Amino acid sequence: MAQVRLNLKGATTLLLDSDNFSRGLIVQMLRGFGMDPPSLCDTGAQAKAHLEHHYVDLCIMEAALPDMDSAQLISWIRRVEKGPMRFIPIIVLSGYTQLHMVAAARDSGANSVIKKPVSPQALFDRINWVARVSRPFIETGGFAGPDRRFRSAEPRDGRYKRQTDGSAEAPADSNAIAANAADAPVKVAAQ
Amino acid sequence: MSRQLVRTHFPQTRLHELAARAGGITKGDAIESANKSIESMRGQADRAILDAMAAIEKIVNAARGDLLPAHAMSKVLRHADQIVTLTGTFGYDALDRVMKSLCDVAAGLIRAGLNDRAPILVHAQSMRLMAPGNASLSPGETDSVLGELAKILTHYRFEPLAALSDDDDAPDETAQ
Repeated sequence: MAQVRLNLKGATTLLLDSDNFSRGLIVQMLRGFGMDPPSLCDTGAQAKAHLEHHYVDLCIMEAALPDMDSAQLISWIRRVEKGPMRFIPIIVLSGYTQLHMVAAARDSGANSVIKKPVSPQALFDRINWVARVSRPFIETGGFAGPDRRFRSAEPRDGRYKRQTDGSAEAPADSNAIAANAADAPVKVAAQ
Repeated sequence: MSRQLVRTHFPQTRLHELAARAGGITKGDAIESANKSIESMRGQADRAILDAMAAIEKIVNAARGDLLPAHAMSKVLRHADQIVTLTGTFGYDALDRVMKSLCDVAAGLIRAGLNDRAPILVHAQSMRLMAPGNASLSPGETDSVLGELAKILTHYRFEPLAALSDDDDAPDETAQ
């Protein structure tokens, strides 16, 4: 089976982590994946200021920020920002003492959550997944974010349709996310 | 019955467009390259671990009597969490277990409103035994230390933090 290839050269990434060393590890991983160096922020306020003036293709943030929870920042991105910014893929990194924030991050509209320590394989799989798999964006009274009611991880662009091709390699927990989507909106109206 | 308005968008992100381009790096090469970059940081990681350990020891040793103030407990937890990230990344398994135990106990004490210093002190002494660069304990000695630390959690009837995660989404794939 052909190996998955990822070409994200030129993608702009915002990395939000207050711990210098942890941030450095992620930067090294992104470099290893052939991605450009990310923009760095320490706090949620800095991230908001950055996002108000710059477009980013991908946002990676830790669950607990010094000045707010990631859930608050994600809600702001998903609801306050108009235009394409609100649809940006968001990956949340959860430290061992922040696992209780996983559900809040997911419910606020994160695309994916990774438990620290983050392995290169886990990060690659998640970036590849959020980049390749299109998920509808649901907006309702209590939720704004990617639809969690998905079963198929096949990309919409038709790549990897042949048996000899690789798959988008959805993260191992994708079914768990779908299975836990009971509280996601159930009535989908036309756009 | 009221109907909730739901809007569905089908956004095409720029990340999606970029990923659809030909070329790029294979998963195997990307991971190998990332692992090499990370491995080059091992020396810095060891120093960061030792610095965080020293910070924990300073906090614990500065406390008077048998009590550790709540704010000090929170600082210990923050430093311990930093160490857990590094021990997991760089494969210090025994130290990783000690630090997770410390996180479990410190978080439990904070939840319970307790300020006991002794269980934190014991963990601080144990982590030093397993610090990077220290002479390795034998597997039997390591198991013995970890077994004693586990008794502390049992004594307080605290749940490990991993068990308190209120969501099944927490991924398991943390191995390198």
